[in-house]
Amino acid sequence: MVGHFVRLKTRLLANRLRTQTLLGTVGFILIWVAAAGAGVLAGLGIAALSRLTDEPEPVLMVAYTLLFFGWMVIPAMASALDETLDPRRFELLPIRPRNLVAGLLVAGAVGPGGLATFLALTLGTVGSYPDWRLGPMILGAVAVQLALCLLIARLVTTLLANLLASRRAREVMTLVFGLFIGVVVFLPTLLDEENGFRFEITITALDDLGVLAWLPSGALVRSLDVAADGDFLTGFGLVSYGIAAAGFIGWAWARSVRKMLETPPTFGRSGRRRTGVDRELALVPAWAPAWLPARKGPAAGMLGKELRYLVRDNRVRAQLMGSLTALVVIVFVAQRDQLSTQYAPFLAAAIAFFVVVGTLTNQFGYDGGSFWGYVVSPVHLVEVVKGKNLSWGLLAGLASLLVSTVLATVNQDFTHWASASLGALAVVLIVTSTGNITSVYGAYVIPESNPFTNRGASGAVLVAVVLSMAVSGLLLAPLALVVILPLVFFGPVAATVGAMVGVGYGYLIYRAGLQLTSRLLVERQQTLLETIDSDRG
Amino acid sequence: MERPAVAFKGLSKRFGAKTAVDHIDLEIPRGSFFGICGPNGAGKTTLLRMATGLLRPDEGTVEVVGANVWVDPAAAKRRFGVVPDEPRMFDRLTGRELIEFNGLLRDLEPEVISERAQVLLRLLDLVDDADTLVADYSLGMTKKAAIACALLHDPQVLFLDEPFAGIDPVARQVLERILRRHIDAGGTVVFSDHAMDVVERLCDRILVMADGAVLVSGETAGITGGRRLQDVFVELVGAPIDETGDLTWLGTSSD
Repeated sequence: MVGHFVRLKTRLLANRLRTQTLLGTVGFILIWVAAAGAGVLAGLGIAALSRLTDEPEPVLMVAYTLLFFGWMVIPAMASALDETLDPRRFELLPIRPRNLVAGLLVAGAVGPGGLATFLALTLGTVGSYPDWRLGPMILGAVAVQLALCLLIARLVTTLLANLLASRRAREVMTLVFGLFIGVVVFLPTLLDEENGFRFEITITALDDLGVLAWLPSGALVRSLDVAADGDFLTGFGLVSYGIAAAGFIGWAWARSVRKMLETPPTFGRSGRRRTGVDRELALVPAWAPAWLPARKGPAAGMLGKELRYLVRDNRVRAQLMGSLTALVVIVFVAQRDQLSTQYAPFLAAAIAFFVVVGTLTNQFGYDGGSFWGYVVSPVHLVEVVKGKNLSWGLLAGLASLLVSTVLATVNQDFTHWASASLGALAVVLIVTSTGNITSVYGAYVIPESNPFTNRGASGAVLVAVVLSMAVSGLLLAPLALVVILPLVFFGPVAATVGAMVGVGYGYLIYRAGLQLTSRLLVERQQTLLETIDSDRG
Repeated sequence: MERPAVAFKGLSKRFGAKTAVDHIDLEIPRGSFFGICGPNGAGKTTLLRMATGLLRPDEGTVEVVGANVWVDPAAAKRRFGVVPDEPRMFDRLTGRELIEFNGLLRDLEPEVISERAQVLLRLLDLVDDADTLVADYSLGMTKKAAIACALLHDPQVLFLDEPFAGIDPVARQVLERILRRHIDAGGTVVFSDHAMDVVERLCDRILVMADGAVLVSGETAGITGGRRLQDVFVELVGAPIDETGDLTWLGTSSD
């Protein structure tokens, strides 16, 4: 039975490669190469650190523990990119639960993540304990650690599968994930240097605490350490503890799978029914002033629709909350460092960037199967793009304006307010421009209800996003120059003038990008429709 | 001479080695209630998708009331409305907002949208759910919302892919009346369906296709010749040889 699952997984991977475009194939291969590269680098890094400190145990213990927690968090946050891991796909087949979980577990190991982990563990462990007598112990420790990683990932993902289908839970998870990333990224700056946050000290502190040593992953590393000192009996005992822990997680997972199959799926619907009243139209409210340019026509429709989706679509809201969480961390750091208003332009620009970059690189992906609605209407798709740009631009602009105003008010210094607001506007224009092109070239669907059905995030997307980020960086560089150099050498007024030039430059980039997007939309409308119309999540 | 409502000229579409639609030449006169039938995989949906600009043909052209769908898409799309087989709508909008959104995309005046939306919501029995998110609609209600969106701009031609699937008998009767009204006002309806009794009852002209090719096309009465359309259809597409005798194992399970 396990063999069937492995064959199914490898067949699906092969079929995915067969149906990819050239960009997709390149991306697919890149993912595997990157995974193998990351695994080898991580393994060699662990081995090198172990040698460097002459104490392989703490280094390897931290590595094993991080891998374990990484597998606990990342597959759940990635909403499980692999539908073969969805137990519900097999619920109508007469497969014994034991065989089902064994099959799903092995299928979970076949993939870039499994490859990277296997390489990192094997190279890291062998490199840390280069002693042939430890061969069987190393084999056991690596195998049990790999099983622990796979099992905890399956347990957490299965437990969360139903939960992740609800819009509120996803938002909470995104928030938690945003905070997690924020803490990881900003941990070194958040800790006082006087307390000495240095790698060795941290490892020693953790080792002294002894917490990691008693976790299953830590026990596996200790088994190697004691075996290296000749105490093989204790070593086997510690490996047995790891096996028992893996068995317990496996049992819990099997139970959660059984429970999942016995419980009907939930969907991310609002369940909210409003009272039925025969009232006026609401998309463009009647109270909207008549002088507004977007009172009627496609632009008004898109603006109304997108602004409602900001509030109602759980995926958009989750993206937005992730961006805002990152911003909170930035503002917190800025506050801690008593950031002067001189930095306001950078902060506002960063805020504008974070708010738009999350969604503007995949604008049509959120519409998914609804995309046909645009295609059958007489409106040119570029008008749809303009409407989306307008709504997100408004949001990013307001967020940046708010931050620069708050910063200026708190410091009672408005000298940098104008350059901050204008700089942010230029950033929005430039990032929107590249985002528009990526939205046509690298569109992918984002499932709404069943998190196991995310089939869209392919290699092509990776290539498109990486390229988009690189191009955005290149295009943002001149903007940074025209704002930063005048600010440093001539002061805020010069920076404001520079930012005004930057807005002009950003507008030119935006127009050029829009023209290219318009052409691409005509050429690629069919491909785009086929790519995102497959959303059946 | 009056331009036909829809004209397919040498229309072809292949998916790899499979020919989904094979050089179809056909004119659908204005004012027709036109039914497209065929077995699964016959190419009905492919044909409708090409007619509505959702799928680019490999060869040939489609004209809707004289406007080429691929040369002048905006003009063609102003002339037709579409209801696909599984309508995925912008479901974070309410029913009322969805209709309004479609009207705005089609550049209709807000007053016109408002007036027509009220009528359509009432007619399709969606008034009580007009301010509920489409995400919370049942399949039948979603289909009704799609129909309202397709009718809003008063199209000359309506393309519907299996419009009666998944909706209740009352809604079906309302939809039939709406479509009849559309025909009486000079409009054209083109729809595909598997239910032969519905096609026979509603359509004055039909097209039977199989393996992407036209088997027969013309006036319904002329094609059926007084027989049931179901029988004519089975005869045309070829009833499968009865091999159920090979299922000797069926029903032998002892569990």
